[in-house]
Amino acid sequence: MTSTNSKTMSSHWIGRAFTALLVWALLATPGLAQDASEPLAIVRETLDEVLGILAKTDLSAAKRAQEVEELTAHRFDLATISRLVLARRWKGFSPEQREEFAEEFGTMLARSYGARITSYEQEQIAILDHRFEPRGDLTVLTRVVGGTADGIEIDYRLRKGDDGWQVIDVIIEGISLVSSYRSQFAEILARGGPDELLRMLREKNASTEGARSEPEANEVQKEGTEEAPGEPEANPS
Amino acid sequence: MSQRGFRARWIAILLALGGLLPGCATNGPDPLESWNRPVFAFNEGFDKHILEPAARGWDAVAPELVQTGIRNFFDNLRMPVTLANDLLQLKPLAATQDLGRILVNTTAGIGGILDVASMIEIPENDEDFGQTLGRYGVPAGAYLMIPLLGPSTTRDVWRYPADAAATPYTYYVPGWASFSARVVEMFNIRAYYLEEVLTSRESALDYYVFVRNAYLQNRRRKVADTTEQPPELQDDLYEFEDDE
Repeated sequence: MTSTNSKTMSSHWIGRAFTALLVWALLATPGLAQDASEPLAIVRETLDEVLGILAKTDLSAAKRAQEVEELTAHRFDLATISRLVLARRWKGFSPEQREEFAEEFGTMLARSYGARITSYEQEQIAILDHRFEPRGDLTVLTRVVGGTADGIEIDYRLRKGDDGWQVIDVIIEGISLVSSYRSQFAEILARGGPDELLRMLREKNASTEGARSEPEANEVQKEGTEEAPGEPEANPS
Repeated sequence: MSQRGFRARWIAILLALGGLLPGCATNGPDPLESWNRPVFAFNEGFDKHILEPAARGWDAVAPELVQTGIRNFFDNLRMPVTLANDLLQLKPLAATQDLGRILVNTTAGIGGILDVASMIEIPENDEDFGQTLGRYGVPAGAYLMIPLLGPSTTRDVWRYPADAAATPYTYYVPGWASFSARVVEMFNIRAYYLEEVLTSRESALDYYVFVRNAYLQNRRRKVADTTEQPPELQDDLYEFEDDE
């Protein structure tokens, strides 16, 4: 920019200081977070792909759920979500317990969202806006258009990590998934610690096992399909 | 006891609760848990044994169009409450939109059965007296489970008497009629949420805590009119507490 002759030294000085401040502010922002085009493109692309799968009504709900799960697996930062959900309780988990927690929690999330697929009624999702957040996060604001869920607001909070921009929270009508599960898990952890929480998660996932693979129910019935990893003793039931 | 008498007594109980409870010290997320849990269990029992089966039956016999019509009708009946709260919160745009909705839907929408206002894209606002109190800085208070009415707080519970006072039809419709209407509305709205409640119950590990957390978060969002969370809440939710 060509600066016209400044009338006084002081205004010139203020101008420079302001520019310096701007440059500093931009550089100090982690990961040049002010450019939202990349995460926005990721969200739009993922939504389009998911809606595309959901619209394939000739496929069974279980098949569609599986396709969505495969597609979205790397769009969610499950490791970060697990840590945020466990918060200060994270310290009380051994490395093995953390790994198992992420595994079981991820399965539970995928299934609870998969269970909603049957209620899909050709809804579309419009991206309304985005918002920069502390810690370099970005929130993408969306709204459901059409169907019975018309007008429902869904926010996706993304964070840039080693694997690029990934979703770390989903906020539906102001209800954060991280907050929701954190409060539920906190009560269980206060009662019975990590072992109790992991036991409940395993139990939950075992109870939804059949529901997911309904069309191939005969496969589930085969013996030996149900493994109990790291559990030598038989289930007391 | 007449229905009107029943309602008056009911409101008196709520007022008494609402007046007493803010006096309790709010320690932890749920200081009234010993009251809330049993009431929640009662509400769940009522829902599972009476409300949900009835709503399923209603859902099976009533065509989608009838259900939507009834839903629209009751939405329109409640709009004066929203309008009153728009005005109390000094939101002229929302008030104009909601007044427009009432006029359009009551006339062109045949008494509110058709939601013509949405077809011509007049936005619908969602306000109640609990939100109005929140807007003027009254804290949410303690989480409070109300028999049959569901989750609330010691602040939000005031919406029931205040909003009833702002509902025009309560003044000229006899008690038994508005009570019957409430029952129809309850079945109808419950039929709308059949699948939603089912999946929520299934996906929660602790359904009581799930409902409490969801209610409180959703209300905070409604009072603030934004999904943006305040900084202290963001620090709590999205900061790793211990960096190894």
